[in-house]
Amino acid sequence: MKRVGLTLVGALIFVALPFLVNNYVVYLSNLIAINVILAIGLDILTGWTGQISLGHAGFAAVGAYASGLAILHLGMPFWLALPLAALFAALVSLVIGFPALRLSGHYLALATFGFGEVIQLTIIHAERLTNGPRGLWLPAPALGPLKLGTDRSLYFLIIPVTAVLLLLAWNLSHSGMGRALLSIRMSELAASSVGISLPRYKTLAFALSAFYAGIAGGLFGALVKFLDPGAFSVWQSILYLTMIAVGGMRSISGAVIGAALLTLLPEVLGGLQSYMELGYGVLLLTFIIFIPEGIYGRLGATLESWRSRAATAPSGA
Amino acid sequence: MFLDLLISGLLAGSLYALVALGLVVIFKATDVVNFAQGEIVMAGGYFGILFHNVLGQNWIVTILATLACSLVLGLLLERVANRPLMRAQSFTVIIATIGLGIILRNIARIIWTDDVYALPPVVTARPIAQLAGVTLTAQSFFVLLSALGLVGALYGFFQTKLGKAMRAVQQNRTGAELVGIELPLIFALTWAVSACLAGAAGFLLAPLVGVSPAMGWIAVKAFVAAIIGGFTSIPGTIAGGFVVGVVENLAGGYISTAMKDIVTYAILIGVLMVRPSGLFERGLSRRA
Repeated sequence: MKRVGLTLVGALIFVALPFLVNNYVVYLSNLIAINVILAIGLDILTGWTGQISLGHAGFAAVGAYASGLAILHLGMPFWLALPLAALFAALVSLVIGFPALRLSGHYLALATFGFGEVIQLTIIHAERLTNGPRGLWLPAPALGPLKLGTDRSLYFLIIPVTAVLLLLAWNLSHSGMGRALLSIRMSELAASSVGISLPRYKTLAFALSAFYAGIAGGLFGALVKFLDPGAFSVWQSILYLTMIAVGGMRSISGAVIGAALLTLLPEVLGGLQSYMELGYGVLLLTFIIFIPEGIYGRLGATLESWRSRAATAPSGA
Repeated sequence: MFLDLLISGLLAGSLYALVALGLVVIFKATDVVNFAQGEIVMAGGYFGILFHNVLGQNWIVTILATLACSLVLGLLLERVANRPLMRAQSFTVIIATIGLGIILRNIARIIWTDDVYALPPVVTARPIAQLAGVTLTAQSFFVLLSALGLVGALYGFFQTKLGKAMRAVQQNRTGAELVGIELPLIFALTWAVSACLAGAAGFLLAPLVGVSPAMGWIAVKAFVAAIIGGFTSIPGTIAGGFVVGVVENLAGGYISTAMKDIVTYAILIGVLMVRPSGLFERGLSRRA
């Protein structure tokens, strides 16, 4: 009963929110949701499976450009272009997923970094297709006769898609596959000795993670309606890693917290742009060294210790 | 044209090799791949600008001061990124050094903005020799000779007692500790030596490309050089630096300038896919 009530309240807030706040806040909510999708996707690969990726902006770029070009040149409807583009990003990720089976740690970091850069360079130099560094203007997406031109109308597309992908990730984390991925991070040797196929699950993690990034990329294109290869640099990939490191890895709430925080930070500190990146660097270093469990992990641990103290206090008195 | 490209490739390659050697030295001793190495190169360039252009010192003072400052920077980075993470997973260390690089780059941006500063060449840029129609400048000789000299100095250092201790730590950390080598001292020394190489590379690179926060991109080439050397072989890494320099210049000259960067990543991915242990692996397996 309590759960139904909570769901209803959540749904009510979701429907009412875009009409209560101004357009800028709606736009920010959309942007946060897109980054949440990316962060969750990266968390599946990096947080759960322990495979680092410095090339996730590349997968997002594939999703964004593939869906954009399919709409522009093939006249494909948006609802079809978006999942197809994400599938294409997943396919591209297999190209790196296979060699990555043999790599780990810094080698994997460098290989994924190289792939991300190759994707960006390809977009820059394939000018006839992508318009290169001058960027690509996209039309407002349409769902049948429904034109999603405003940020408010996009909100009703982006937020449900995000919710579905979150639910999927949550279900996955409680499934056999989720546990298999988690066990790979703990010990590849132990995982394979109990019959978990490393090649199969690692490539699956890569593909799933790239699928999420591809969806996020496609939604990003729909939101900003202008694609520029500079928006998908290695810096962006590092930003996604910062999101999950700050929010807390291996938890969906952590990815949401991290994505929201790091999307809002530049907006809050708007006037101090030159200190922005420095702030990210300090944040990343501080969290990874002193709070490796992230905000959510730390909050959980604090709550837990309070609860146990509250439970033991009366008996002690 | 071919000789021109070859020589500019060797010139760039010698600097890639210097930076890559710094990466390899750190990796062998501490198992850390330093993603902030490019930013130490950048710092070396700015130290040159600071002492020569701003403080008006002569070249000898500038070079010594640049090396000293790089050394101190290396010691500092070791304290911040290596010491607290000695037993951390490689993931944590990668992220930490990336964070350090971002911090260094943006400190430079806050102090110096994104402008490109020009460091004059140490020796006059007048061509001193003509070789089969290719002009060789005194500065390119200076860069090549300095790079070779630094590599020689590194080999010389490895023959000293401290250098031997460092190599012992590279080969077997526990064994080195057992015979009384102080690990923290060697770790600090390793990062200092590595930072000196990177800082010197930055100083040598500065007259060629100018000094800016973006200068750290040279680390990408150095990573490829180090990967060719399997991150362990010092001769392999030096060869890797020259290979990257020459191949990218030939590709840039004969195919298109766009290929110059793409070919670097192609080598990176190709080597990692085919032979992740490097092209110069000597059959020595690394300790677990």
